[in-house]
Amino acid sequence: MVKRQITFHSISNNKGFTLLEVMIAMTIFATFIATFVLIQGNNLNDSSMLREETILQRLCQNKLNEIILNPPEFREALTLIAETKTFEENDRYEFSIVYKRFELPEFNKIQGLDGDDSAQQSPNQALEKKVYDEVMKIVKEALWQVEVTVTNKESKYNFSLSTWLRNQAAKVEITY
Amino acid sequence: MKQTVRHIHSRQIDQQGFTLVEILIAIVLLSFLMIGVFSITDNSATTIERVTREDADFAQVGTVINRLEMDFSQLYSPLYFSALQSDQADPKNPYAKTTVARNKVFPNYSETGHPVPLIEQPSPQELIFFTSSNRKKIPNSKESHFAWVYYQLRSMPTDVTEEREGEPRKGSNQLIRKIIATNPYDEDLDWDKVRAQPLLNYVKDFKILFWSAKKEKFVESLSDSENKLIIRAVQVIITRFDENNLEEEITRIFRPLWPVFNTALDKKTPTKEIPGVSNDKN
Repeated sequence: MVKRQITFHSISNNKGFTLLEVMIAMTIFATFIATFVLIQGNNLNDSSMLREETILQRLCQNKLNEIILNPPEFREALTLIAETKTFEENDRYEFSIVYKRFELPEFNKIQGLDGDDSAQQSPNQALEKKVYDEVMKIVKEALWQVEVTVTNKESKYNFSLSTWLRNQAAKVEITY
Repeated sequence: MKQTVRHIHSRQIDQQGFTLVEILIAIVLLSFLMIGVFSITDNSATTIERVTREDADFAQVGTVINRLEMDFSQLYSPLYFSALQSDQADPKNPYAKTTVARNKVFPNYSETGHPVPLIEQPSPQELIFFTSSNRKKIPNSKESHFAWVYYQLRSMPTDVTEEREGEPRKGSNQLIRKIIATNPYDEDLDWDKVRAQPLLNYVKDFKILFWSAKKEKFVESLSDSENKLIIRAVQVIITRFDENNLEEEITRIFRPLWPVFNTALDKKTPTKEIPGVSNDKN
């Protein structure tokens, strides 16, 4: 009697996997495959990003060098227009150039003027202010800022570089 | 006893195993799974190999560009800071009576008494110039920071072979660089004795253009720019075939680090006497 029960039990155990077991197995397998595919995709992505970045950087450096070699005429109007154009040699990329005047952050603090420019200025301070103003006037004409941004038209990836430009036409004259 | 035997018998029948059909289905299903796994693994292996190869090829171009940038950005000539000395030496110039002899590679002198190196362009694909970009690799070796550099395009040597599948790679030229740094003031630059450093293989064309400020564009020959003793900027165009036999053109502009300074105008402008400051050069 006892034997019969055992036999019956052993047969029922040999039925196969349950649905749950199969699903767990499949999940583990799927995770493994997904990780594999993902890593592979990352490799390709890294490679193409490296290429893209290098191309953007090269185009940007070339454009900046062209501007340094052949700067435009420096006028106030230059700061108002931000032109965006397509590269002649590579129509997948466009560039925009922004010019700005020389700016010194916290120029007033450097001069020692903290807003309260009251009438009680010593003659020494007045002279100091005159010197600062003269220097600023010269530097403002002689130095300009430029920023070049190169953008891929499709992916919108961009790269920008900026530098100082020297205005060769500006004269250094100090009136004293 | 009889009952038990029967039961054992029946149990044995149940445990016989899978039927042929079951086995066949299992094999088919498993083989599909295996094909899937194999193709993913194979694909991945091919991709990583291709990416590594292409990236290495791409990085090679980057190395060449860095090399060119180093050499051109540190171009040396005293003409960047002083004017060319005329044949009729100015008696007031204390540097006029310089004792160093002129030679083939330093035919001129600057106002400050520095020898002015020659820039030679034997052919459109070649350029010889003087740079200060050399760095000693062996300590205490007799090498100078100054060096003559020779960029040249030559046909690729036959021993440069690369195992690859499919059609052979196009582009039959090789870009090389030679450098003489041991005695830069020696006028006999014997380039045949110098070992060539191969920079880039499978090159189709290599061109160096020079910036002309007057024409506001790059010109093919150095003598077409205003002053053939000085380089303001160069545009290097390398045409080559990449790993996939696709032609690519790499254009880069390089500038020497010296700022633009009009030395001729500076020479002409008379020095003003500043009140209270002695202008005596001695």
